[in-house]
Amino acid sequence: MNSAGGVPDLGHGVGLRREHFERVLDAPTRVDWFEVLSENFMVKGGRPLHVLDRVRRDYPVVLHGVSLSIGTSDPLDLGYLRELRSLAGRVEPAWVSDHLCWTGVGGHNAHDLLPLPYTEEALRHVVERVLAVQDVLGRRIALENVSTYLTFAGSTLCEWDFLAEVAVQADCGILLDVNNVYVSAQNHGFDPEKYVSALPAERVWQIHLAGHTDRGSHLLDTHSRRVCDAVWELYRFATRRVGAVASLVEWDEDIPEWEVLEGESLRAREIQRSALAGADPTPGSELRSDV
Amino acid sequence: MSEAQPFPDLRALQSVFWRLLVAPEGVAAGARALRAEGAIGSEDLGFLVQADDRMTPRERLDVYADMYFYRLRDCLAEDFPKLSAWIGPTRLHNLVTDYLLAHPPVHFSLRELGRRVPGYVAGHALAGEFPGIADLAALEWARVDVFDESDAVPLTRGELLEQGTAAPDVFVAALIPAFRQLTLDRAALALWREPPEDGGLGPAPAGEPVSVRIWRQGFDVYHRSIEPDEADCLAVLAQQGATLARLGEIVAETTPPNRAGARLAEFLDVWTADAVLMAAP
Repeated sequence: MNSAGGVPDLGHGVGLRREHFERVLDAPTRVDWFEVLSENFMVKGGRPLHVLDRVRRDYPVVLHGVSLSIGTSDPLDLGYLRELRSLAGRVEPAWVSDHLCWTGVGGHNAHDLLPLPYTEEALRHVVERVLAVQDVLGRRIALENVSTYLTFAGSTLCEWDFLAEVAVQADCGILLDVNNVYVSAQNHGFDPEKYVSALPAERVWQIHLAGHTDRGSHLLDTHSRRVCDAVWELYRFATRRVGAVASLVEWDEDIPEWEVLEGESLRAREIQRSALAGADPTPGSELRSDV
Repeated sequence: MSEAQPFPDLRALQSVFWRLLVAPEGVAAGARALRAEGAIGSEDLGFLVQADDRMTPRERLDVYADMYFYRLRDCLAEDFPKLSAWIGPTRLHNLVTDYLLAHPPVHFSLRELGRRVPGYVAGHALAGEFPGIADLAALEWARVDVFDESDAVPLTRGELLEQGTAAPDVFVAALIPAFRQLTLDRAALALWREPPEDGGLGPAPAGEPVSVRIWRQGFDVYHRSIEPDEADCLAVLAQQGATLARLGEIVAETTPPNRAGARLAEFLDVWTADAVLMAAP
């Protein structure tokens, strides 16, 4: 149990993707839990829900959304929240998470994670909405920091202070995506360890790991490759800071064979173990699955 | 509006950001349009986004604009793989650009993004140029639609005959939720069946209309063309369900009396084998 957060340490998991449905159902895996994209299962029936029910029978599951749009200036989408609440009632997830961002305005949805200005106005707005969402869902949620590619000219807070204030004022959890921290740090020129150090450790419920792509002028959060060494190092740093929290590898494009993804999760397990044991092995020397 | 435009409040910021995000010619053109409208004071967007020595504000916003378009294009290409293969990447790019302008996404789920594609393609220049394309889109969307429709317990042939013959005027059969019936240009079926040889679209002759049923059995989706008398029966089943007696009447309208019973039995065999019938709720 993460001491102050009050949420369980689920161990090491991966994002459940369609490409791995059969493998996951057919035989035991070496991962501890799965995260599923909530919206993919807000359907009436068919294979997706069947798979989700089967997976839930054998593993803890976390619902991770992409359409909450907590930062939009539009009203909360109560229809969405009702469906999310219904899905949560069916799945009984360990927790529900989404992103600290907005995804659309004027009734439109970009289906992308758009950046917020880090202003007092936006902070008040997001805090009020998180409180309202938690009220509707009847549970606390966790919010994830997103990768960003711009800094708004009017931002008066740094991102880590904004995230920390949202978590404290709205009494919600933090899903710390260390890849996103790294990507944003490279894109904006800040110190990623300073970011991680500034967060209230007891509110970090979960850590995300993923791969990104170097586009020359910027890094892009593509979830299309292995976690890079610098992000593993940041994960090690974050683990020392927040302790043993549920950790998960995401892979959404150019999805590899199951064994490759599972290997990334096993590597995360080993890095967490060594970080908590105080060991400081050479980067990249831990268990690695180059299947 | 002055050049020294203040940083907008959240609502105004998101409104401007959205307009730049979806501008079909890119962020620079979007900024020019907003400047012309008086919505922003400067096309360099420095009042909105910080510049640095690596990227301008416009270039940073372009990252988001590209992600918006390509994510949605890829989603539509996945839902309409046959249509995408036939029209090729350039026409697909242009079609998606036009479609998103006409129907920007409003639903929280990407699953709903393509719902209006068949109707949109029917009114698009592509449909006039290449008959069958709009109906191919309709077929592909119906297959998407039944994939995750509600589950139901289908009637076996034995259950149907037992309940239906015990109370032929009372027991009502209906179609499972994961069932659709469409009238399509026969050319659309050929386009679905035969991938383009050179990745491009050749003119397809307009075919005659044909009824098609689309359904999910277990987790797999199927479609097949059907004869008019089967289509008539299925249309009644889809609307309010039907007793076996009523289905017999429908078959008798188009089938000689000495063959009507056998024809209905043929339908019941194939419908139960395909698991498309259920007891009416």
